[in-house]
Amino acid sequence: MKSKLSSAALQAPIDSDRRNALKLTGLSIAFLWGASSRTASAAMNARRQSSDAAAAAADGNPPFAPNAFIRIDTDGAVRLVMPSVEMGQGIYTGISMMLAEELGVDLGQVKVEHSPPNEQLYGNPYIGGQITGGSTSTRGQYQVLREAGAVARTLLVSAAAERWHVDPATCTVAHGVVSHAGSGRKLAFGALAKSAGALPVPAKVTLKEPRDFTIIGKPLRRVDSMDKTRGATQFGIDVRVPGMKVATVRACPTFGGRLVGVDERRTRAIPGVIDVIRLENAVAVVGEHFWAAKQGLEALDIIWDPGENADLTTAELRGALANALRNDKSIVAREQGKRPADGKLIEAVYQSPMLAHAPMEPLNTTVSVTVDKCEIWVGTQVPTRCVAGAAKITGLPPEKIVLHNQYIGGGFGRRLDSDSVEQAVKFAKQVKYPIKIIWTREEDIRQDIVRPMYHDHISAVLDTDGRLVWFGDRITGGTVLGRWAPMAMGKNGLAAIWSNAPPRRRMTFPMSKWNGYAMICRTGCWWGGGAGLVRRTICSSSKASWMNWHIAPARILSNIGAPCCRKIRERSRSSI
Amino acid sequence: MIVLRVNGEQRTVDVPADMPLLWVLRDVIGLTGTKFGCGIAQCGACTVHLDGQAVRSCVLPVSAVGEKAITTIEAVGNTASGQKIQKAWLDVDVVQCGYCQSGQIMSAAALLARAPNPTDADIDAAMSGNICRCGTYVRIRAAIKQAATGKMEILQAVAPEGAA
Repeated sequence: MKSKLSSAALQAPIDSDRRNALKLTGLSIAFLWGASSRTASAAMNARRQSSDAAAAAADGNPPFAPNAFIRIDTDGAVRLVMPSVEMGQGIYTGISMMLAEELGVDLGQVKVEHSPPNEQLYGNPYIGGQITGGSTSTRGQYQVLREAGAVARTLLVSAAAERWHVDPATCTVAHGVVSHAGSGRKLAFGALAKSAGALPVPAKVTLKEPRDFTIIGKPLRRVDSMDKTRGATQFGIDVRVPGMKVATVRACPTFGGRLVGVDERRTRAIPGVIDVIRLENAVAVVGEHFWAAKQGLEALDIIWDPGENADLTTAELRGALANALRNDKSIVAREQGKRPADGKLIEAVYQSPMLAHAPMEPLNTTVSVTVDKCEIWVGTQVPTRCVAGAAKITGLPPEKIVLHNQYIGGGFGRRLDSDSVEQAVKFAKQVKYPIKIIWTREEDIRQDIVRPMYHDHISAVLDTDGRLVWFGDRITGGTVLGRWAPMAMGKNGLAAIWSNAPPRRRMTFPMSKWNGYAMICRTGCWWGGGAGLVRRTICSSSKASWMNWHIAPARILSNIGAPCCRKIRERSRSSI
Repeated sequence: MIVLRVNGEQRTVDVPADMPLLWVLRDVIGLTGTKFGCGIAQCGACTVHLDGQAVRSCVLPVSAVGEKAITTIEAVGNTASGQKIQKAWLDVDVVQCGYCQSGQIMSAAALLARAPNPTDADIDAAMSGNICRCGTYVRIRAAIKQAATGKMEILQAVAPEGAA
C-alpha cells in the first residue's frame, strides 16, 4: 500500500460566519438542539492547543502526541482518542478510519480511547460543544480528523527523512512504517515517536486524494466488534471501583413532587443493605450488591408529596394540544401561496405519544466524592455538561471533577441529559465510599425525559389526476430546545428544528399554549425524527401513494419501535 | 455458602439463596459480560447457559442452579456452537451498541447446539425473547444461518489488517 499524496492544499479555515451557519444547519436535523455552548471556544483542531499538553500528560505522556487525537508510544502502539462517544452508531470505527487513513496505519493496529471532558480539544465544531448527537459526528469532524492524521504522518515522515538525510517527498507510509523507496530503508512509527515528538508541528499539510483511500469507504469490521462479541466491552454499568457499593433509586413519580418521609425499618433488616440515603425528591438504598439494594428499595415505605401535578393525565395533555391547535395563534414557519379552492382536500389529525428512550443499558453512574475530588464513571453523550453539574453540586472547581466516559448501551438522546448523573453525585456526596447507582428498568422508564407528544394536523389537496398540489401541516407540541438549549429557540418561540422536513407550502406551528405543559413534562430529546416526524414520513413516502398517506406514519413509527401514533380524525373536506 | 461451576471453575459464594444468578455473576464473581436489561426475563440481555440450555439469569435464584454447569459469554467461545456463532457475528459485523449481544449470542449458541441447521421458525422461536434496541435483527438472523451452513448470507465485514 502506497500513501500517495496529492498536492491539493487544505481547505481554507472556516470563518466564524460560516461556522455559525454550519451550527444552524446542525440545528435543523433530527433531534436537537444546541447553542448552549455557543459562547465556548469549542472547535477541535488538528494542531496543538493550549490544553493539549495537560491532556497528553494525563494520558501517560506518550513520546509522540502531535494533537489531541493521536498518541504513539515507543513500542509502536497507536492510541486514538475519540472525540465522540460510541453508543452503537459506529463512530469509533468512523473516527478511527478518518485518523488511520491519513496517519498511515491499519485499523487493526490502533487502540481506541474515550476522550476526557474538554470542550477546547474535543468539541465538535459543527455544533459547538463536546456533544455526541443529532447525527453530527462524522460531518462535524471529518476534515479535522483527517488533518490530524496528516499532521502526525507529516511529522513521522520528517523524522525519518532527517535521520536518513533524504527528501521527505521520497518517503512513503503504510501499515505504521515509513519507507524510503530508493534505499529500501524502513522505520516503524514506534522508532520514530521520540524524534517526531520533538519536531515543530507543520502549519500546512496535504491530505490524501479520495481515490487513494485504502480505509475510508471500505466495509471494514467495526473496531468494537471483537470485544462486544466476547462480553469484554466495559459499559458504564460494568464499572467496578475498589470499595464500591451498589445502589438503586426511586424518585418521585410525579413532576415536581417531593419526598416527605421514609420508613426504612424493613429495609435495614435485609442482609447486604448498607445505607438509605435521601434527596429532596428521591431515595436510594445502598447495598453490597444490586440485589440487596433492590430488595431494600422495595421494602421501603415511602411517603411522597405528589405536588401540583398529582392529577395531570395524558388525556389532559392531549386535550391541551388540541385546544392550542384550535384556539391559539399560529407561528407560521413557512407559507407559499394559498390553498387552492378546487381539488380534493384530505386531512387528518395524528397524535404521537410521549415516548421513553429506553436504552438497553439502564441509566447508571458510578461516583466517588472526597473532600477535594469528584470522580465519575458514566457513559454520557454530554461529558462536559456532567462535569459542570457535578462542580455545582459538590462546590469543587471543574478541574477537580474527573469524568471517565464509557461505552454506551444505547443513547437515543436519553444520555444527552445529565439528570441521572447529577442525582448520583448528590447521593454520593452523602457517603464515604464510591457508589454505583443503577436505575431499575422500571425507574428508567418512569423517569425518562420523554420524547414529547405531538398533535399534528395535516392536509393535502389533490388535483383530478390525484397529484398533490398543496400540502399543509399544523403541529402543536413541545420542543426539547425550550428546556435543553433555550438560546436556540427562535425569537417568536419557533424552534429552528421544527421545520425539519421537505419544504411544503404551508407549515404552521401553534405552540404557545403547549409550552407551559412542555416545561412540566421535561420534554426530552427526539429519537426517530423530530417534531415533523409524521409530515416527514408522509413527504418521503412515495408520491404515488398520496391517497394512502395516512398509513405511512403508523408504519414508520412501528418500524422504529414506537407505539403507533393515533390518527384521530380524517375528513374528506373541511377547513384547516 | 453456595458452590457453583462457572465456566469450568468452581466458585464458592456467600449470597442469599434467592439472589438471582445474574447478580452473583456480575456483582460477586465479577463476570460483567452478562447484562442487566429488565430484571423480569423480558429482554434476554442476561442469558447464560445451564448445562448448555439458555436461561434468563435475572430471574433464576442462585439456589436453583445446583450442580449444573454455568457458561457465560466470557467462555462460550470454548464450545463448538459458541465459537461458530461468534465467528459469524464478526464476519457479518452484527453488533451496534452491543449491550444486548451477550444475550443474543448465548441464545443463538444454545439454538445451534441443539439444532445444527435451524429453520427460520427455529430461529424465531429461539431468539424472540432477546430484544435489540438498535435493531440488529436482520444481521442476527444472517449470522445464525451463516454459522449453521458456512454459506455467506450477507455483505461480509473485512477483518482489519493487523487485527489479532
